[in-house]
Amino acid sequence: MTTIKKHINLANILLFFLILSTSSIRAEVYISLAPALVEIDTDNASTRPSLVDLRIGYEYHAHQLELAIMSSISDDNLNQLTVDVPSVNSIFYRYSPHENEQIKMHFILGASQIDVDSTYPNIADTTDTFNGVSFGIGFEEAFKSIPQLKLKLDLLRLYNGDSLDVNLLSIGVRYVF
Amino acid sequence: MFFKEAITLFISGLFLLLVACGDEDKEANLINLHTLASQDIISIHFPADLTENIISTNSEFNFVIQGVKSNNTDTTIITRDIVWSLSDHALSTIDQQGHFLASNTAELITLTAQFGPLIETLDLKISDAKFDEVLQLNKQNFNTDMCQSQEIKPIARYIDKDGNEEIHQLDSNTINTITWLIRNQEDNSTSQRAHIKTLGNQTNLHALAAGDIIIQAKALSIFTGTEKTSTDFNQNIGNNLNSIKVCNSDDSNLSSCNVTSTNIEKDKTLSLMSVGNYQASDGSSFNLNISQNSKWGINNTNASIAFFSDFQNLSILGNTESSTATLTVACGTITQSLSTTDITQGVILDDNVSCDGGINCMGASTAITISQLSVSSFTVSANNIDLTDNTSETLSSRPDEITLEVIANFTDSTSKTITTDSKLSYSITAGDDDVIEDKADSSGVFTVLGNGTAKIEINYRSESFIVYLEIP
Repeated sequence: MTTIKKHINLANILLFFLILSTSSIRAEVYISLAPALVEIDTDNASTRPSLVDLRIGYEYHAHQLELAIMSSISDDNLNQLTVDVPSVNSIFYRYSPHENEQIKMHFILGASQIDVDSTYPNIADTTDTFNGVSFGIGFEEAFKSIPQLKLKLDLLRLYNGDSLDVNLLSIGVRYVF
Repeated sequence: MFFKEAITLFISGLFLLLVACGDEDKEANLINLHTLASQDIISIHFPADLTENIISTNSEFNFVIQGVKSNNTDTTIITRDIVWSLSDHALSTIDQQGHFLASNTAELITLTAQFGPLIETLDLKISDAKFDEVLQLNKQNFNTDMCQSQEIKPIARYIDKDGNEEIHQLDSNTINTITWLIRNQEDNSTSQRAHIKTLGNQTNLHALAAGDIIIQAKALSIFTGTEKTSTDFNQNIGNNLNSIKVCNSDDSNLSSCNVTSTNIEKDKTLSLMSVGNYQASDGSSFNLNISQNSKWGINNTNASIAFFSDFQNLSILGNTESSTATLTVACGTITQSLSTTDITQGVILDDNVSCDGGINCMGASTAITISQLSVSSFTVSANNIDLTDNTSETLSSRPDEITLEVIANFTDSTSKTITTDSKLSYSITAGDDDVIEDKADSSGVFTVLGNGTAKIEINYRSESFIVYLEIP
């Protein structure tokens, strides 16, 4: 746990330097907001709590770097099992190979920290934290009347484990300042 | 500009490398919880009636775990995702299906079953005490009805080298050596109401007719070295059978099943089963496949019947084309004598089985029609040239005669030359009396009259083939 915390702190410092290093670039700041469905998928069963997905990022041509902060909207139940995802913190790099398309596709690569709360009868409540590489694809289309506002959809594997995966489906809007 | 982008990507990559540490070791908790929840289990235990604490050396035992559902009432045998293990240094073994193999020496070990985060343990004694005698037919008393099968787990006495008695379930080796004796209670005669069979270490009482019986177990006492016959175990076979019917064996809905087709081709088989509807003690009714314990009969040799190897279905083989046979089935005490029948192999008679209105018997029947074997295709040649159905074949020169050879390929993958078969018909549909004509008294031979197109239609058992020739 100490090692992971050390990694996260170092990552935050690196993120700070990243922001500083990009501040002189003519980058556009954006914010996005979306409801999101997380799927915790095991070999035997799955649960799907929902989250609110808030992201702040910088966009430079085909590149985007964003910080995602997600928190729980509702838990999910599988019989007597209750699963909630109180928080997900991620940093994503997004690349759009076809900038001029009406519907832009993004390749997404990043890292996430996912907290999962679970409760079950006769078993002590637990919180598990998963850190791992995240990847996926995203699509977005700008509104014709407000070009800075875009409708976006992300499909992500937040955590890719041996026998447990955490997937994310997020549909929302992005506003470029 | 490019430099700044490269810096950005470099820092991003470094960030990812630092943060991207996997957490596979943490997955177990959530995986286990999802496993539990998917089966709605909140606790587990070894079921008393299916568990043994003392197991004989060199014997086998199948352990199971019972799960309690979240309503705290319903239970279920958990058949997957159990992790079985034995205490360290155990000489006995267990596989992940719960199949336990006892060591050849005595030992005290702990058996652990883990289902997700739930763990249950059982202390086991692997005993080298010697078998002496069967004491009980089954761990618990049971009720059974005619034409039902009931698994029994006999209880036996074992004696160790110090003379101490151990009473536990009969071990898997000894159970295969037991000779079961069954008599009718009212007159002590050898009973045809039931038999007991052991297969794969599993012993079943197969009840064929209602009534009171006495069961005894005869086996060699390893402790005394003499053959011992147990005391009498009294058992009643009830009659709560409401009805019996015959069904196609591939119909899984026993309440609505029936025989959908009573027609079978010669040399082909039809698979059937008998289904009994029983009255349960709570007033409800239920259906069972009772083929194994039913009595079957067929009234002639136009068809023959035999059990499949698992006795769960009956196979009917059509022997005589264009004929009929009646299949009868009964459960209970039938009119026909079984004195010369080995009931352990199932009851099949060369005649109808009948109940004659006896209260302890119910029957059903179905008429079987045996039809001709169907033709799947023909292999036809003309003057040794292979032909394709209704496809033109041009002969290189004009022959004096065309001689056909017709082979019928049947649906059972057999073939037969039928060129001169009386049921085969030839009909010239093109070129008749102009190009070819029938040769008198020579089936399948045609005289060539001139050049042109000749077509001959061949018909046999509702199948046809068009011979299509261009004669120069």
